[in-house]
Amino acid sequence: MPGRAVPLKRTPRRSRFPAHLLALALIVSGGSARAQHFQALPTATLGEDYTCIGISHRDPNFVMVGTSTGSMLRTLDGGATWERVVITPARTLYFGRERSPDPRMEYALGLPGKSPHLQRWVRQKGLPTSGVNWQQLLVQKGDKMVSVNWIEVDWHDENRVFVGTVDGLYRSTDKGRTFIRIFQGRSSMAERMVNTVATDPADPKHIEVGTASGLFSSRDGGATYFKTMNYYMRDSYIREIWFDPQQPGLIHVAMGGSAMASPDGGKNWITTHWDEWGPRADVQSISLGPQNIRLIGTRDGVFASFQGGEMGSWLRRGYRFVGTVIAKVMASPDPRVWYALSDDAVWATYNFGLDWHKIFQLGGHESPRWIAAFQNDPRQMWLITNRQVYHVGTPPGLRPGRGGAAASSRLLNVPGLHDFHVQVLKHNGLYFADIQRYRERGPWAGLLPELTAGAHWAPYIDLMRYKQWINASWPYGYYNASRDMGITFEVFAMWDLTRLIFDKRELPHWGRIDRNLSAARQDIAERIQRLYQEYLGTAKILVHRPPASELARSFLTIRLQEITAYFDAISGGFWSKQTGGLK
Amino acid sequence: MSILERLFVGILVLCFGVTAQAQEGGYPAGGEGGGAAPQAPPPPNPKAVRALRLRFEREPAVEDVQKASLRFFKVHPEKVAGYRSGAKWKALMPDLELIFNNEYGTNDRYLYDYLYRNKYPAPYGTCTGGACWPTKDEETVKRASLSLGVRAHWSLDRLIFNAEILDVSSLVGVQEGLLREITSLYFTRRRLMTAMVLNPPQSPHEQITEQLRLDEITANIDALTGGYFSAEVKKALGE
Repeated sequence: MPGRAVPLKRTPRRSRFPAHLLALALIVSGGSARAQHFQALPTATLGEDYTCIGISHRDPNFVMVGTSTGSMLRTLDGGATWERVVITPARTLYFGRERSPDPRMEYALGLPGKSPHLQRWVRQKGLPTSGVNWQQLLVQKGDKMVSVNWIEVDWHDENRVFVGTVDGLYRSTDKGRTFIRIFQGRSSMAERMVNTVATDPADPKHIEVGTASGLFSSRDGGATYFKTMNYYMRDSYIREIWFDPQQPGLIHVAMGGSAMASPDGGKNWITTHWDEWGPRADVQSISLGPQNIRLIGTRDGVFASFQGGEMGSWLRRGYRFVGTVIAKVMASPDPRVWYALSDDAVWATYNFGLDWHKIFQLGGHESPRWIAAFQNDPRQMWLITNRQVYHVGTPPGLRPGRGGAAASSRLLNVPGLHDFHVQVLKHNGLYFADIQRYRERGPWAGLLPELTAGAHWAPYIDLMRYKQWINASWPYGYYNASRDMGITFEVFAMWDLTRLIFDKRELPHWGRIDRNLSAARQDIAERIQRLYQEYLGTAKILVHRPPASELARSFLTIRLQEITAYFDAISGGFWSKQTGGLK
Repeated sequence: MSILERLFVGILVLCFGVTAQAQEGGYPAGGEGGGAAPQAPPPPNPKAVRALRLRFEREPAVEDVQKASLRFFKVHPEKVAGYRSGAKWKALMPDLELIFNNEYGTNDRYLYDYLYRNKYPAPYGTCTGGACWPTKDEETVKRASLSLGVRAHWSLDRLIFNAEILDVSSLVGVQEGLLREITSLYFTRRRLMTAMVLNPPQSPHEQITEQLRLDEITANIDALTGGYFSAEVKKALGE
């Protein structure tokens, strides 16, 4: 791919030391694996998939986590207490009926996206053009889910939070409490799908919005947007945008099929990474490290550049990742330490990517979604999986302190996960063994017949009149009438004895019903497993290391009450019978 | 290796050694995460805390709210048990057929005999080339039949196995989704009320926003319970 030869760094830095000296130094310094403990945190949702995380650039305690249903979790104390914030209502429970208008949304004129000039004119008149379009509101269906794709806390104002969803870009001006939509694409649904949004650390009014169809820039704080018309970028699937805080104006973009960068704040773009092999060119994630280290995660492993991402400078790091999708990469302030997410584990390297260590294994249906840290500091690292929010070590707000009254150790006396799981399935009629036992009765049903019994009453009249015209008078004409009446009783019995030999209804995994039941079983199993672990983790905190803050303790207790209430509801009260309950 | 390079190596080893030590200290195995401790909220007002506890006690319990929600959406356990029991015994009730059949038919027969030539024309005969033949005789047959029947059909095999019983179990997905949502809303509301007491909003804007959120969650709970929650709260508070 052609690209202008524009330097990607203001002051190109060469490696300060010869490579063999660096390697020797690493051996001496013992660049080995360091165990990092990911602690699952108590959060505030019961079953949504987590999708992304946004960490403030200035306050490590301000974190938001996005979910697949349009709601978000917000913490202002580093994960001790979580608040659920809804961006757009999750409508699945309303059976196709739209809710009443949401007071938190900005209901506006809703101009079609293809009228940029009209939009500008309306805006000049002081009228809003963003927000929820009335027409869209009517069209929206009941099963619409609005997944949160990206959360960005403004570099310059902690109160301004941008959230990219599949339904446009939303902005909060009160630290994530309330949101309005400020961007809904220009002309297509793909443009409305906001995958990423980044604020410029060097320019408070500069915002870049990456969509499923191109990159949009705003130079006025989000009021107007202009599409970047670079040939390679204008219809591309943009995945990530990163401003380099060290080098003002430098932007790196990860996108489907390549990586690009702009050295001048988005005016000119050059391709930084591309490969003929499609999966290798498909950049999932990009991370900017110190000393001009750039990392990319592709569908064919991890690549690193030590020259600011210059085209041709990318080297494969970690041959174990060949053919592996790397969803996220993260460089740390230590140039040697990097992190990567594969589909089932978190990996770390402590020697510039030469050796990779699995530091957290996930399994089952839990897969990593995001890894991020406040200022890329691994000690303040967050890991998001589809099911859980993790933090490296205990977050500050949950650390024990004086005055924290320990809860009764009775909280830890819970039934085993398997026993509880079986009880829930039995209570809901989903336990496989029970269902199969019932299914196995199917063939024996052939012994009972299909029975038909009937009764019929049928009167019949036959009337004949005869006339002979030669002697057209009586008695040469006559009538012959007959009336008949019958009552019939019938009984039929039919045995389908073939079922005794084989009946497909006996099969354990057959048919629509079993597909439904399996899906329900799987959902419940996953949810129980996740909440069970969270219950135990939370109870351990309250019993062994209660936080000093009463607010944090109250939230943990409420969380336990919430899980208990849910467990009781789905198990018919089994949980409270076993644990003694929690009021 | 020159003296200069040896010196570099020495410095490097020292530098990386220090960095590694700092890092070991910074990434404790299984230890605490980093980050500044968040700002502590102001000490709670004991009177407000007591009032909050009292309020929680007066409000409907989560079990009641869950039941109200399931009942509102017609998926409460008794109803589902009823569905299941219905599916189990439905085979005792037959498919019933009622049959009514009514037939009506007419057959007219006319006989012309050329031996009985007649000068009279139609309507009682037929004429050909000026000659007419009368109808010799005529027969009309009318038939009417009526049939009334009743037939019952039992699929008795379903007494032993009926897949619809398994189908009823699929309702658990709706039940569980509803329970999850209502439980989540109920405790989200409690969390919010707790936060408003233990860490009260500092500005009017924040206070209004939090109050709006509280109202919204309460409205959501009402929407899912058919207004049960607010009605019970009003009853409990004597409003």
